[in-house]
Parts: sequence; C-alpha cells; structure tokens
Amino acid sequence: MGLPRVGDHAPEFSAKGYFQGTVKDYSLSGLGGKWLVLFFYPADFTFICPTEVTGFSKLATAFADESATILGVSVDSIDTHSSWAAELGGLEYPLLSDEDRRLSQAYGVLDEAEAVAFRATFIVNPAGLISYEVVSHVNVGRSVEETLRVLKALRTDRLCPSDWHPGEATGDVALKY
Amino acid sequence: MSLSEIQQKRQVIESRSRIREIVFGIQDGLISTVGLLSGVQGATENSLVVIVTGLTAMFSGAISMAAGSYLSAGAQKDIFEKEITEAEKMAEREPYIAAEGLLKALGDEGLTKEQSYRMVKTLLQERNVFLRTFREKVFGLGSADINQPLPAALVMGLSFIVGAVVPIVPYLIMSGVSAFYLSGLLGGLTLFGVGAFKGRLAGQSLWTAGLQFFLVAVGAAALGYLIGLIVQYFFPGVSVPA
Repeated sequence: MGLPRVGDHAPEFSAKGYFQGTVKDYSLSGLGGKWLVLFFYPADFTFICPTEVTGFSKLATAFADESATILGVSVDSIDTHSSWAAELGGLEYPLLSDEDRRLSQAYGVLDEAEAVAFRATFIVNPAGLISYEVVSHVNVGRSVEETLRVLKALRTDRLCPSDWHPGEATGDVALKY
Repeated sequence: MSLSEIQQKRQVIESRSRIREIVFGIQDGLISTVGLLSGVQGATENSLVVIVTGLTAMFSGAISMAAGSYLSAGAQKDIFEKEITEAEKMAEREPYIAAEGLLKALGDEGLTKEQSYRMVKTLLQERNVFLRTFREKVFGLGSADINQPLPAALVMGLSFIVGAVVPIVPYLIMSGVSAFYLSGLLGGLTLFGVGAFKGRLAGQSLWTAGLQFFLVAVGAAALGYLIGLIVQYFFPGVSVPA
C-alpha cells in the first residue's frame, strides 16, 4: 500500500501497545479527537534509534501541552518494547507492537526488504486527517523539535511562514510564505 | 577441560593448519620424483645418474616450492591484513553502523535482540575488543595466526624433501627395474600413510583417509600417463630423447 497523502483520512488501526508497565489496545478512533503524532522506527535494541525514541519522550510534556498523543511504532513484540523502554530509562508515551506489519503497511512505510518500518512521522489532526508526513533514510534520525514546531504551526490554523516559530506572527501577507 | 587446555588447543589448531603445506609438499615431492626417476631410469641404466638427477630435482623442487609457499602465504597475509585494516577503519568511521552489523551477526547466530544489544553495548566500551569482534563476526576475518610465510615455506620445503627422498632410496640400495618398482611401491605406501596421518588429526577413519590420498595421487599420476599416451597416439613421431 502506498503512502497516504496529506489531507487523506489517516488509516484506521488497532494495535497492542506498551506504556509504563501496562499493555492495552490503541486505535486511531480511540484517541478521542486529539492530535496524533504517529512515528515509525525500524527496531528496538539498536544503536541508531534510541536518540529519537528518547527525544520524543523528553519533549512528551510539550506535545501534551499541544493536546497531542505520541505513539511510537516498530515491528517488535510487546515484550521487546517493555525491555527496550526499561533499557532507555522509561518512556513517556506508548510503543505499539506491529509484529504483523499491518500498521506499517497501512501507512505505506514498510521496508519490504528488511521487513521493518522506515523512519516515518505522521501528524494526524483531530478530524483524523493527515496534516503532515515525513519519511527519511534509515541513516538519518528525525528532528523531534521540528515535529513539535510543525504541530504548533498546524494548531495555529493559520498561514505560517517559512521557518515560523511559536510566538512569531502568522497570517500576515507581508510575511514571506 | 581446563583454561590452560583451551589455550593449548588454540596453539594446536594453529600448528595443525600447517597440514596444508605438509600434504602439498610430500605429495608433490613424491609424485614428481617418482615420475622423473622412472623416466630417467628408462633412459639410462646408470643408477648414479638416476640418484644425482633425483637429488638435484629434490633440492631445486624443495627450494622452488618453499619460495612459492613463502610468496603465496605472504600474499594471503598482506591481503588479509589490508582487509582487517579496512574493516577496522570502516568501524571507526561508522561506529553505529558497525554496531548494527555486529547486532545482526549475533542475531543471525541465534541470540535475541536484547542479548545481542547488551553484548555489543559491553563490547563498545573496549574499542579494540569491539573492533576485533566486529571483523571476526561480521566479515569472518579471524585472528588465528595461520598465515606465517616463513614457517609455511620451511614446512613446505622440508615436506617436499621428505616426499622426494622416498622414491630415491630404492635406487641407493638396488638398481634397474626392481628399484623402479620398489620406488613406486614406497611412494604409494607413503601417500597412504600421509592420508592416514591426516585422518588421525581430523578424527576420521585412517583407512578411508589413507585410501583417498592414495587414489587421488595415483589417479593424477595415471591421468598424466594417459595424456602421454594420447600425445604419442596423435604425434607418433615424438619421443622422449634418450
């Protein structure tokens, strides 16, 4: 399945997730109309991924302040997620288990050759529409701060100029878009 | 098994890797000398000529084989070392990718992701240990010291002499066709013995290993003889100068 486009309805999903000692089902429709930051990463217990997994955790409060839920997804099992979260000193958001690769396939980010997800981030608005998506090469970690910046810009619901940062003016035609 | 036994085992493995030179040297020394002596014996009845020819061929052959072994082991060593250096440079330039490679290699061997991760994390704390494990596990570049050119050359040269002396000895004590037959017989027995010796080191059946060596070497000699017959058939005018 191809990558869904910005403006498309985000594919519905239901997957088990691990969060601070608890395992439960997470689904798009169960988010209760909140913003969603859904990020895919290749695997637990590797030396490249932890920086962004912990990066999202460090800024979890800032995302919560924007009324956003963060969900991390990889093809690892719940047990592996549990051990990995403990290894990283605890995480402030759930890690979903996509062992059957259905979630990665639905979002068009499954690397068929390696059978793991690409590094992909989606921001889904409260109406369930995709507002932002980015997929990067496995060698390049994504910017958590950029994701937060884009989320804040989207939440202004106004035109935001290039390199806009929270607190700066929006919607003014004199600004460079 | 104690720790010292394990360390001794490594030395045994390294020394037994010389079996390649031993087998090669003895087999080549033996077959080439048997062939040469039977040809010379056919051409002259003079035992002294046969012996001197045999000894000359033995020493020149041994030197040539030793030199070849020195160069080939050296070439292998040089390339091996270059590959090791490149593997280590790569691991230093891209430590995370190297760590990922090692993770995958350990996973392929049956460790869980978590076990592999903890192992690699520990190894990363000691740069040299990590680099050595990386090149061994990811590229299969081991560190057992088996590519020493000088010992390889010495073993090859001596083995060639051992192999070549066997078919010469009968000509020292007898002459003519009887020396020729005894030479061939001793040659065959020696080949069988080398095979059985290898079988003992490799923990195989002595008879099977001995017979394998005997048949392959004699088969090679027979094939050479057959080619000679074919050449004679197509070029009837060609004959070995007396």
